[in-house]
Amino acid sequence: MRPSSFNKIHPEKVNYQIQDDFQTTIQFQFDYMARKVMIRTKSNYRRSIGRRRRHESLFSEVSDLDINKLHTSDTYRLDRRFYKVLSMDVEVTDCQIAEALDTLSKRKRDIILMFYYLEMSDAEIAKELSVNRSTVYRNRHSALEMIKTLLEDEP
Amino acid sequence: MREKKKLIPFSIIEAANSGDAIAIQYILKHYEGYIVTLATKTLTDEYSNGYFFVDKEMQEQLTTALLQMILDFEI
Repeated sequence: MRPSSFNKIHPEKVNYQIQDDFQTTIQFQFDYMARKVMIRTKSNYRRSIGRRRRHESLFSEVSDLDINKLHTSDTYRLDRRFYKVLSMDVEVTDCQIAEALDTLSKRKRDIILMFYYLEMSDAEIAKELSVNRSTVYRNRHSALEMIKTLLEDEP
Repeated sequence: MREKKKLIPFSIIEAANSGDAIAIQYILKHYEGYIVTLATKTLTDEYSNGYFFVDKEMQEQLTTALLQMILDFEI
């Protein structure tokens, strides 16, 4: 082919040819992309289903023990009683014990609260109230006796 | 000899890419069969008879993906 033969092709025709080729390429690209996207989506979907099956289980199939682990019970301020001892708030959650504590005299109640809720020793309490240690001990025991009779009577 | 692939005309691709509803519908129609083929599942019962059924959810997802792809396609 002589070099001059290139000139014989009409430039417009070449242009048209390129245009046509371009369009066919796009058509194939589009088709390929569409199919690829759909296949990918399908495999993603299947994988997500498999993942869900592995990590999730039906509520009805969970054992009672596991369900009980899930629940929480609310606590309300009204359910508990606060006592002020040594400028500290002591929290008593049990209603019955709180009622029993209410019947005691202030000093005995303070001793009980300090001993059991603030975890102080007899000697520390005695120092705080400036009384003898044995007094604290006696008070504590009589208070415990009173609480015991109260709680035993109730039910 | 392999059958020649049926392709979507260029003008329709162009129109769909710029958001033409009719062109998009044409493309969806074109791939409808393919989507159904992909979304078909086989179920086997206790007598090992196979049943075909089309997973509607997967079909929907595939259609959505195709729509997204049409709009994202760069010419």
